[in-house]
Amino acid sequence: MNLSEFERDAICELVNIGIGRAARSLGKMVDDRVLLTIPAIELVEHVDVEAMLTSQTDSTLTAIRERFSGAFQGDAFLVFPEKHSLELVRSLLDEETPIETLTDLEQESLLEVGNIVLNACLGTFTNILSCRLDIDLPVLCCGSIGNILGARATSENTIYMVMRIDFTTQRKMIKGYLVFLFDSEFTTTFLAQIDSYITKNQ
Amino acid sequence: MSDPSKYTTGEVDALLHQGIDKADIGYIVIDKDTRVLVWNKWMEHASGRLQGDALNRPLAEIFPEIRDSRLEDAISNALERGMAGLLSAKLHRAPPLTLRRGDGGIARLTNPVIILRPLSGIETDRHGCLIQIIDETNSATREKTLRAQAITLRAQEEQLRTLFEAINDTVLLLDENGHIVALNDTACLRLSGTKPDILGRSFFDLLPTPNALTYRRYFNAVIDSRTPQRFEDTLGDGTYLVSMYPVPNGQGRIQRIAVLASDITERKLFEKRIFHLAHHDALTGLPNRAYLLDRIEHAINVAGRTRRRVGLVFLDLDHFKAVNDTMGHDSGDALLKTVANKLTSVVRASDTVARMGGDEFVILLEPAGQDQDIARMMERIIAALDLRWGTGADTVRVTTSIGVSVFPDNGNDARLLMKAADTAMYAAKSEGRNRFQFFSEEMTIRTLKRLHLERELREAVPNDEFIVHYQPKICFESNLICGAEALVRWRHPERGLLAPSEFIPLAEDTGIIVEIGEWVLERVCKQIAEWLKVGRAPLSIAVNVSPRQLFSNNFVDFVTKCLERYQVPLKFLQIEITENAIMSDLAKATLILLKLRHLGISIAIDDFGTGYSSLSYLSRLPIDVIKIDRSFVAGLADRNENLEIINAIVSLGRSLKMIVVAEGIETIKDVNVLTEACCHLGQGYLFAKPMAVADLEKWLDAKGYLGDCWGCKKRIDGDLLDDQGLKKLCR
Repeated sequence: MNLSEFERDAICELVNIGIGRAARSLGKMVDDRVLLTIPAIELVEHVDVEAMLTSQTDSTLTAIRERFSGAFQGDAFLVFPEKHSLELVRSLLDEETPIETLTDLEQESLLEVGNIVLNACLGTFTNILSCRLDIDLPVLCCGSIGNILGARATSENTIYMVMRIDFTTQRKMIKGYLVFLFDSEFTTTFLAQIDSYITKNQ
Repeated sequence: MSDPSKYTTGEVDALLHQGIDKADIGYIVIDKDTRVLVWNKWMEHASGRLQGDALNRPLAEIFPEIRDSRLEDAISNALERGMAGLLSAKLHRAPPLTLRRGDGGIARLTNPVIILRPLSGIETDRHGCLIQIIDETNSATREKTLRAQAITLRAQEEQLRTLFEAINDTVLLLDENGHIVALNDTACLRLSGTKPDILGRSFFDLLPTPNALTYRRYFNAVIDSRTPQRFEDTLGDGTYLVSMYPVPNGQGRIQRIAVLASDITERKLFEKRIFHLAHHDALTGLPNRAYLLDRIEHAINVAGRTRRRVGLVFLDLDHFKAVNDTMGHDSGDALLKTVANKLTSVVRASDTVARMGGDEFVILLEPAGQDQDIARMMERIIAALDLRWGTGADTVRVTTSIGVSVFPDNGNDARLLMKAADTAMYAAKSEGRNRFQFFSEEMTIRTLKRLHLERELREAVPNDEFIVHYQPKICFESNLICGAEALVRWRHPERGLLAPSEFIPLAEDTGIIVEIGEWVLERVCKQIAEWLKVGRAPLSIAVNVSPRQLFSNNFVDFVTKCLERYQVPLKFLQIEITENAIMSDLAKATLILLKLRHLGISIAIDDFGTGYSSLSYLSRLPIDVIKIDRSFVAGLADRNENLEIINAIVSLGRSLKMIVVAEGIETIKDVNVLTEACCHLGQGYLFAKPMAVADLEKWLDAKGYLGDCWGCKKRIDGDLLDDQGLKKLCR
């Protein structure tokens, strides 16, 4: 399954609207210390996801996962290489805290960031597509991409919608990825809805 | 029939409501317009607002601060889009909700976590939202404390690490097997490696074997004794002060050993330098007195055990003062350095040459051989130190007098040996210098005798033990008496009458000569006055004056006063000074003699021909009389020895219009020879011995003495002079 260039741009645009909201929200909280942008979107297969996300030397990943259900069903992930995730929290908290001493409290902060970003994206989808989603609380998971994506990742023909997300902080640009994994039949539903939205607005 | 044990739905609902009410977290349920539907007891406590006061109010009314906040966003997300939300206190500048504990409202909820859950209504438009508030203040505080501690510890560790690296000394931490666990940069430098190379290796493997053995020994000692160890070690060119400390692991076991090595090379050099400065003479670099004494004691200890001899050699340069006085101190210093070098090159490596100060040197011969071996070395030293110092006319011959003492023969400690060598050296000097002398017991006896004599001599003037003897002089032309020489004698209470040779040198050395000389002068003046008083024709008397007396401050004054007191005419007094006394300080002597001459006192130069006076000076000196030394007269008659010298002196004297006197005349043959040589006057046993006044007077009476002949003096001017003319001559 492929996204047409047009579809790709549309989704990217949608998500960027949501991300804008998320950035505003974060900015309010942390004195505008962070900028968010979504430069790219891809529909990829399992193997490629792994290649994309673990291209860094550090193959341990940190992810914030939110389960969504309703009009379409699946999981949304905000994924960082582990070090980057902590780096992000440090930047947001503006603390000189050494990475090794990050604790539950910081993990909560990370969860909230994930909650904001993922809710912003998913919220945009529901707004634009005029549908309703029930979105669960964010959950933190660590480990390899396999650990994070869970059993469903084994399915060969699962399609992932992957977006790179850049957090530009005062110190550095931290790369993260937004991954949307729809339960088998809902990928098509989602894309169909996107298509109908595009058609409607053309 | 329903199960009686099963709770009814109503009962369960009641329990559920009660459970929610009593839960330890805050429960708020709001409707789609954010009006409060549920407000549990925890919320009552936390907000201070009772349930009745909260229910049905919009949340923003209860908490105005949530307007336009992230919490409001999250609530609207939950209500409008069904999104769960999570707010962590950490990320927010201000707490999302201002809550206080109900009890007194003191403790703020600093770290609440707020979790929002959308709730679906039975009718889709009648949904709501559950807000749960979890207080994490306690855990957060604990965590904060822990983190602060961690930061402090880390800071301390970094400080220590910085210090560790900043230390210029070598610092290592070893494990119980001697493997390097940590080391600083200085240690890397010393061990010539990089940290990754060195870490984990055995410290002892990195050291040269002998050093490794030393370190290993102390390392084991630290582990065994659990106490620090300290030692000095030399590695390469450097000297290190090494300290090893046991580092307990907190449970009493020694698992680490700290090794500190300070480079003390410079300090060692400095200490060496200080030691050298304290123990050596600055001018010559030779060991000084203090150091020498140490060495002597040490040498004696060793020699005592090994039954060997140790020699102590005292050296004193002859005439060093002359060099210093005539050529200046720089030249004197240069001479001392030369002597130091020569001595060092002559002695053996095992011997020690030291400078005592001034022109005194000491050599410690260790070991010393037999006396003949020592004697051979002394001869070499004397030869080496027989120097011509200076250039041209200023050249001075420098020689050395040496005294030698030997352990164990002459003493068994440094003090005795030094004293003995010193005594021997003085003996060598009085033997005529430029020689060496072994110490002997006789020297001590002589020294003691001398000390005894000195004590007696000091008492002799107050005790009135001196008397004056007079030896007449005879004119060869008229065969008449022409004055006499006054000679002092010591009537020693035990030893009888002593000749000048037995006490004058000592009197010279000790300065008593001045006192004796003054006594003699006064005695002579008194005698002349007495003769005049009793109407006896007085002799003109020549009085011997020692250099010390001559150069004493008030000599001319003393003579003047003496003559005045006894009202003695000047022509009756003559002062006799030895040639050497004049030459020892020519300028000063000339000045004094001129003053005397100006007064009208005639001057005789004694012992002429024995010194090294320059004849050109002689012509300019205010001298009336030359006395030829007795050594030229002795043997004159038998062998005509020294005849040329006598002739030369007489013709010199005559041409300078001086009266020439020959001393020590014993035979008539002497008289003939001297008359032949045209000598004016003579004195000696042939005519008369020196006599006490009473004997002299008898002798004069027997000769029909009527006054000095003065013939020779008249002859000098070519014709006979009256008293007036004579006076002129004397001046």
